[in-house]
Amino acid sequence: MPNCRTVRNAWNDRLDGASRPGLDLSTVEAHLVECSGCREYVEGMRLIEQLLAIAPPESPRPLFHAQLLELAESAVREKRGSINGGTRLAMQLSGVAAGLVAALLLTRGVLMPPPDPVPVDESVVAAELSARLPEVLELASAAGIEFVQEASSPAARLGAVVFGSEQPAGPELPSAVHVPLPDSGGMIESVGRRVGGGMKPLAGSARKAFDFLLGPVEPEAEPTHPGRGA
Amino acid sequence: MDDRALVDAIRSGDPAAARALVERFDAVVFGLCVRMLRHRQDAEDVTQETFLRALRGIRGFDGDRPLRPWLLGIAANRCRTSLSRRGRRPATIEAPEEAVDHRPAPSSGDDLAAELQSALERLRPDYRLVFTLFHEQAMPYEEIAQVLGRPVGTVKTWLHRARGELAEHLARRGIRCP
Repeated sequence: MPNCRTVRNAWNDRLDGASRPGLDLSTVEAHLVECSGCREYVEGMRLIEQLLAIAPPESPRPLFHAQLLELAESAVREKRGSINGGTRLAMQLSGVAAGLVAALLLTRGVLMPPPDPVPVDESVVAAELSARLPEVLELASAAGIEFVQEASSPAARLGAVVFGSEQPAGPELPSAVHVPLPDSGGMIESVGRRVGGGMKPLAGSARKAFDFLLGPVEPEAEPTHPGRGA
Repeated sequence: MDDRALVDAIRSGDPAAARALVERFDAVVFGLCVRMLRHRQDAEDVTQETFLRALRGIRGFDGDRPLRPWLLGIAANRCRTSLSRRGRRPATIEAPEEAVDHRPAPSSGDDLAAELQSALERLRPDYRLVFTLFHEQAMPYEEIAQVLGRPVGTVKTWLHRARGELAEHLARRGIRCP
């Protein structure tokens, strides 16, 4: 004859859709005849089954269901929009940054072709750029701010699409294809992409982008602690 | 559209796929939330949060897995967070567990459904969650274990205790099989 624990476990197994191997159900029935505690337990299990059958889970209200559908749709649109907008902004910034650098180099004569074709001395170029680095950074930062301002208008329009409010059409972002690039602009493009790739903060990104022109950075001296050592 | 195709469509930014996700699963997610939170407005909030989290995080979801346990897992976690926040609020007055209940035993189906809800409310949240996932969402032990991050044995123990406590409460209320 099984004990109370075995009987109750067997009943739970039945509810779980499993059967306890090696257990003779007739012995369970015999136990239930004799044990009022287990009879009550089994009665409770049957009651739970019946209550579950007559008390299905509540359904969402039709209005909430409709709102949720709209919200889900908007969330996907917003996500797609933000990815496209982010890519577009990065491309714009890359182009403009490259253009800025190119224009600076060309107008200041750093890369202007000399009367007689002579090879460009890269160390001279690097020295010139290093000397003008603050000016380059200032221009790049100003361009970054201007383009963040430009980007706020498409973002507002995206918000209008998502939330359904009407907004006046804003100006189009300037296109990178209008930015003049020199033929031998591989290096400049690279600089532009690096500047355009990081906007937070732009000055820091630009500084990193121009690191290769500044040469190796001297490691900072270890801070000294007057109170230690001596 | 199967789960895999639905996930791919959402990842590609198809708004119709996001609607399909809600159409397919909002009843089960809401059903779990309302059982767990016992409050329709809170359940709607958590259901909404669950879908937004799922849509935002779907790029990191393993598309070879079924969606339903994943969504219910998010919902279960949000419900637990919501309950823990609620627990930090000033306590509401509740009837003591062993107090004598003088209310008449229910007779209609609606009353019996309310009795089950009331009995479920008295379970600790983990037991209630396991009971609801198993009996109302028909999730197998293994999936519940994944949702909760607990061993299957623990899930089984909690479910059996939940049933036992429910049965005891219903017996105290004098409720018998209809």
